[in-house]
Amino acid sequence: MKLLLIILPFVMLLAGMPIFIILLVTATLALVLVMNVPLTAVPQMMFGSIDKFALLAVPFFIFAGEILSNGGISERLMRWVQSLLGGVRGSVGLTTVGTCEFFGAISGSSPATVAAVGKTLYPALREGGYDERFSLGIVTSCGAIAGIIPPSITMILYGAAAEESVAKLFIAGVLPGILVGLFIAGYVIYYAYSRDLRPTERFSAGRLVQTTREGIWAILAPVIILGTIYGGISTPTETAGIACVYAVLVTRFIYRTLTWRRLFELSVSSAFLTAQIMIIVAASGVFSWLLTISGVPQAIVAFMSQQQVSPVMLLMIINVFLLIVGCFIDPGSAVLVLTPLLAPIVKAAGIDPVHFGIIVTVNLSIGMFTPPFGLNLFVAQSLFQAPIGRIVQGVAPFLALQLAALLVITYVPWLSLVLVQFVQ
Amino acid sequence: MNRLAQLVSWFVALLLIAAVAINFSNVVGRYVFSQPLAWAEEALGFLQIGFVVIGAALVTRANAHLRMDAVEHLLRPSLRRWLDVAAGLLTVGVGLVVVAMSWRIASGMLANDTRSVVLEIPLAIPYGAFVVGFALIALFALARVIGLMRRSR
Repeated sequence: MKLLLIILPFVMLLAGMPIFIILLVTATLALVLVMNVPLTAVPQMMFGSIDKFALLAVPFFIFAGEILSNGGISERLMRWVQSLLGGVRGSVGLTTVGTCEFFGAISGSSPATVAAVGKTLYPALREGGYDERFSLGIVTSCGAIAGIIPPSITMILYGAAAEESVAKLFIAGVLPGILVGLFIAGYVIYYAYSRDLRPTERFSAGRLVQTTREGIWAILAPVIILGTIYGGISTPTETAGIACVYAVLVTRFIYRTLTWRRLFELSVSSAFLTAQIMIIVAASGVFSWLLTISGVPQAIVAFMSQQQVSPVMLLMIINVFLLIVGCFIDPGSAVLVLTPLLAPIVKAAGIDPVHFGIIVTVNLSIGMFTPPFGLNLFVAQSLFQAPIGRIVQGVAPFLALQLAALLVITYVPWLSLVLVQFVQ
Repeated sequence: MNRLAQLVSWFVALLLIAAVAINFSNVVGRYVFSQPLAWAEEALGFLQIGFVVIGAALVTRANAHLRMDAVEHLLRPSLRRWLDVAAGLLTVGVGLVVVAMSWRIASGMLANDTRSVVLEIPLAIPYGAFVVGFALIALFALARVIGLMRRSR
């Protein structure tokens, strides 16, 4: 019977069943057939899993991101970054990276970043002399930065599943997010020099002042979001809520890009996106409770300690495993299902759980543009009407770069933890 | 069914907007007037339960629940349709189990007049969200199964 409960979820997963149904079916069968626990435990555990203040950061950041990305914020950020980098070789490529870093500090959604940034910058890249493959590759893969640069939905979900501070995870994610951007920026400069791509415009202080004036409310959004969290002024959930109000004020009253009707439509789509993720949070709460009371994580920890795997090797194994998982499953589901199993193992190996949260986030963010099923690939396909094969060829060098950055992030814990210690 | 889905979407959007408003009022109360709303955290938790569980019905209606569709693409369309029917029926079954169990908890709480700690509202209300949400999930999943069966004929 226990074997059935191990095999059944995998069969259902391969059959394409909804993940929350897989978790609930498995948990229900385990409760009835193996554990003899009343089924009222199912809604009770689901209730406890989503009745958490820290998790409210998920819907609030989704809502703020929806409003800002639909309110023309990405275009203003892009124009500002471009005016900063205008005189540099590879300026359009660097603008793509820079805009993703800034937009990621507002949105936290990788596909939304590809759509918002790519729509404007893909044509600019092509006009600037970047070939099709490079242009497709950079806009598709740079969206991953949004998943790493805080606020990050994956980090919030990891924080809930591993019972770690979301604020600490957000602080820890800053340098790794910048590092990934720097790796890509280095490649952009190399590409620009090797193809002799000249800057598209000269640096102009006047233009910088003008774009700063036009985009100041957009530029302030990430400053407010990250500043209040890092300054210890408010919790990530409170900040996310403030970001929603700020987004409404900016897009409705200052830029006047959104109507009340459109804002209400965005609240509907935000509630939809939230439910899509959080119903898995609810179901995974039942599942992880079952795992805990049946001693599965403890058994895995005991097994791993018998194998005497070194922390270096353990992290390598987990990285490969997460990269494979990330190719097939969305980051939210993966982090919710796997964290209860992996967190005890890495804790027992002496790895910092905050550092591990960043490793998990980077791995799963890479999965967003990894073939065969990275969601960003399909977003790019529909946006740019390009064959999927060409997009895959385009992301290949960026995949290599982000894997190299992942190795540095994995084996240099200082990068993730230095700011956490500093802020503490 | 479309009208019902629209009403549900308006309802969950209003819950989300209410959550944003309460959170903002709490922040202003705490940092500007040094008087946070004592009931805010509890209310926000209950609102979140509402828009997640009832909002999940909309996700069911749109057949947009997160899943791994890697293998599905390789299957014949007819087999894919039958797997869709099976997933729909499982969703109906799970939905009804959760409805029954949540109803049992909610009615017990109502009978005992169990109330929340700060707001002192009957706890049957947030548990009632599970009854409503999963009943709608089962209903929308059933409608989809019927639609698939009709199309396969």
